[in-house]
Amino acid sequence: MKLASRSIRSTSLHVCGIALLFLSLGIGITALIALFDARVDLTALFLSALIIAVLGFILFTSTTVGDTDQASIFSAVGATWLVVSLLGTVPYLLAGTFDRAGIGAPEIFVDALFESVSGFSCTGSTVFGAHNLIELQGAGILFYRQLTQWIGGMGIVVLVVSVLPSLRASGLGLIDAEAPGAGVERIAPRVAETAKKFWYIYAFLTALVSVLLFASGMGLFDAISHAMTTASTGGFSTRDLSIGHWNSVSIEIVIMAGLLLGATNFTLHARSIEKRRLDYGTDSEFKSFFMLLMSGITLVTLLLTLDGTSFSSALRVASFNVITLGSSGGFGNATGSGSAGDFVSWTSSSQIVLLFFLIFGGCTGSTSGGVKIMRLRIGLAHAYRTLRSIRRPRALLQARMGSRTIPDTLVERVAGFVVVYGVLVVAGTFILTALGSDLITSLSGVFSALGNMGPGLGEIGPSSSFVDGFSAPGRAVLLIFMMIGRLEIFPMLLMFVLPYRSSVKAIKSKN
Amino acid sequence: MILSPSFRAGLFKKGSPLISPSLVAVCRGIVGGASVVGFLSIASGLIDLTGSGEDTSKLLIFGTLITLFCAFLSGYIADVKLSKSEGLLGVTCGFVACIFTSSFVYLLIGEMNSFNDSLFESGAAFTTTSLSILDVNTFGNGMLFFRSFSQLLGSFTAILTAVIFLPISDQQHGSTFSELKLDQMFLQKRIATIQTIALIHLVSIAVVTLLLSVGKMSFFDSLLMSLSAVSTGGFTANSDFLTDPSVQWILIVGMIVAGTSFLIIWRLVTGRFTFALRSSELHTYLSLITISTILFYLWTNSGSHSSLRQSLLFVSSSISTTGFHFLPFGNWSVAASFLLLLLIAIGPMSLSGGGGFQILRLRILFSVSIRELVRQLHPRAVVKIRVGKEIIADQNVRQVVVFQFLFLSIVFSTSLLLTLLGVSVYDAFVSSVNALTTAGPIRGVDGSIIDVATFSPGERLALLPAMLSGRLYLLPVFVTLGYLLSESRNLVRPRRRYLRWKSSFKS
Repeated sequence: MKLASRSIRSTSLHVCGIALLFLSLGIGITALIALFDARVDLTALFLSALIIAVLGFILFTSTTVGDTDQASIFSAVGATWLVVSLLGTVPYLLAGTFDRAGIGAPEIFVDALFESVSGFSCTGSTVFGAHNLIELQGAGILFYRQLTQWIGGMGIVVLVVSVLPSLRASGLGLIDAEAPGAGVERIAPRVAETAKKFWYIYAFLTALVSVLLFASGMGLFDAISHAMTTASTGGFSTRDLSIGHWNSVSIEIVIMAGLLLGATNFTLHARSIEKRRLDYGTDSEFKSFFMLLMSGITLVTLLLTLDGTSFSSALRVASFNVITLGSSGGFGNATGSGSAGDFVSWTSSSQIVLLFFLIFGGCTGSTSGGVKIMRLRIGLAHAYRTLRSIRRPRALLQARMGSRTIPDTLVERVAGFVVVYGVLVVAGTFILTALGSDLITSLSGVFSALGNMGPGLGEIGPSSSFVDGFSAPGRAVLLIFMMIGRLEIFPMLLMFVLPYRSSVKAIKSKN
Repeated sequence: MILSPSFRAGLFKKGSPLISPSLVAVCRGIVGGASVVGFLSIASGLIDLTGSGEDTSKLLIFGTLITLFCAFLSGYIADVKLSKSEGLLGVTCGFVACIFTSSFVYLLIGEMNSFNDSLFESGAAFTTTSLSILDVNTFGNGMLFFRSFSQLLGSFTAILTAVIFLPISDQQHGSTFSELKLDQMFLQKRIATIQTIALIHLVSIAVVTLLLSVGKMSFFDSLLMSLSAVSTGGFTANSDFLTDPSVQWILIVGMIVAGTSFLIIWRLVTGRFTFALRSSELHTYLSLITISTILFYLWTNSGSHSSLRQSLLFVSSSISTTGFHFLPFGNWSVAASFLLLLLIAIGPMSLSGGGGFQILRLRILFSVSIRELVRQLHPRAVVKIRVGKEIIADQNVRQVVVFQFLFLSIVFSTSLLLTLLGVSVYDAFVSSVNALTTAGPIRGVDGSIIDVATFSPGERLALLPAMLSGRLYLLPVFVTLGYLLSESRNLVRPRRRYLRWKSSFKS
């Protein structure tokens, strides 16, 4: 009772506290893995877990849940992601993962933060490369890297909501602010139960992909690591050549299936489990997503075949790359720079098709990023309605998606989102070109960061490092975009409203 | 028999397909477009007499025949009142008819090798896109005038379409300002509006021509250049003068004025200076020019004083989507090329001759995004879209949102088409943006001009739909496509057609 009376009332700090405790638990697990891997990075990981746990404990115990209005919710979600991403750099910094000759402390910090944000936001862009090989890292750090994507995939706030009963009704708002898409459907009477169900499905999917990858010939460590980044549609790999390292069709098929499931609305999975039958065919967004992927694969296969690649090889690389970009996975199946799977060396037309998938991503309510197929469909339906209304000015026409009518508020919401997205793309490209990167690399880099995709076109292809394509300030800009993109823009932009209001209040009360 | 009144009466009796409003719109558009080219050919033929006079006879004969034929056909078009969408259909058909008919003029004169090339040149002229594949040195005065005046016609048609059919800001809601109501009344009197726009164009051309001809330029060259500047076309007959500082200053002013809304110019002309200068769209336009000039100056790393003028020249040429073929100066960074591309995409003020997205639409979209930010915090809030002090009607906001969607779709599909034809990703993207915004010329990263003559005929033709859509502000073209689709659907449903005919005869 005494403790409660001394506590600070702040939803943001409270949620941050428990999120940090979860993070420290995760790092603790990676420290255990390091223990069995010749103790490489063990001290760094153990120390990181301790520091973050102490910080989390202090925050959690010294605060209680405060206001739960919209501004507080955005502030809480934004602050949690910022703090977790920032402290997520501690293991990298203590282990010296990004130390290399010729760069100073600020650039090392930018690289660590880039990798951390890329992990938690499930982007999959990396600063590892020829200058700093992934395979030279210890198992602990590698597993930590994969774990950041796994935590980020479903959402750290969803995790917090599932174990924090004190959040009550505001929990759905928190999940809604964090989840990709146009809103979260409650699949259980209680919010915490909804969050838990999502995590159970997520964990089951990860386990299933792990088993299938192991059965396909991957080692146990690699299988679990890749399953985590497949279910989360993140795209980090424990190998420098990503999935191309194994050059195995069966592994690629498992990864593609896992990515497809990860990029599907989790509510559909929940419904299918509940009804004990596959309910995917009834969802118009999923149907569109699937049809688009199939069309993309067909088109790219055709284009590659016309360009001289054998049909089987074209089908294989087209399927893998279209699905990996369409689901915002970002894995690569290139066996080297310039190989069949390296889409940067493909024809321009194939790259433009890939750019489409890079922009739109997967379904709402999934772990994937991008603008989302739902928004594309709403945009199409709205355009069709408006063009029809010009021909029939007196008719009362509604935008429709499948059998559902789309309310005008949703159309306006999508329009607002697309405008802010466009503004961010232009601003980002502007900054990156001003920092010296070429136009296509900058443009696709911003799309990739905002859509949490991973690779891009130009100098940031599937077998390249972001160090090759962007300077340190450029990478710093991109990591901000990854964060904004992961939270679907608005929470990140509105997280400063609450501190602003508080400071205005404080100034007024002083006067 | 074909000229007999009874035949004509039979054509227009109830149930006849010739009084279908959509068909009437198509016919009116085609006949109108072709006759405009006919008149222009006659005028160009006469102007050709000021030069060698080699093309005079061809132009006069072609123009006369086309005009007479159109006059004959116009008697067969029923006098049916058209709706807004049918008007848009007519405008698109008229524009396409202009392009097709004038491409025959280029072929007839004999300077073009194929119909593809003449179609592209004609399309570039009417859509005011500065993408030319012609060697202008081989042209006589008549054809040079024909080409330059085509730009003016294209620009004029686009402004009229924007004013009559697609007003973004109709100032119907909540406007309490007597000044705005005056503007509204002005826009509602269509004939007066058309006359005023024409007058503003004429005066602007006269002023720019006179100013240019004061220097080293001949009157004819000055006239051609002023036609290009005022129409935001960008074609030049003699590019040597583009390096002259005095010509550059005149063009800067001409292009900035061409990118200004004619409503603002009208306010200025009628002496309402304060109200004209209070326009928030004008503030944005001028701020964009100022900031971009400074950034462009910094990013071209040339350092000399003259480059500030040249920066302003490039910026005003891009934002007004004029696209004169100025040669690059200094060392361009990638950001400088991207800045120009961005300015081209943004475009000038609404109700101006320029293409692109246009500032008013952009401001409406910004307001939409701010409204969404507010709604995130206050989901039940009723927030109106405002630009300056004016509230924009929901219907217009919806059209702007669709415009944005269509704009991006066309850029993407044109880029895809170009890459399929073998163009690199960068060139395809830049070309499609230039075509859709009716800007040109296509520039490389270092500012060098990419000659469209090096493109294959297929690649050039792939740019034409984007150029046409961009010049007509997208919606008319899509409405026309809608008509085409529905009519072709009806064609493949013979039973429905038969029943419709039957019922129309019974009634």
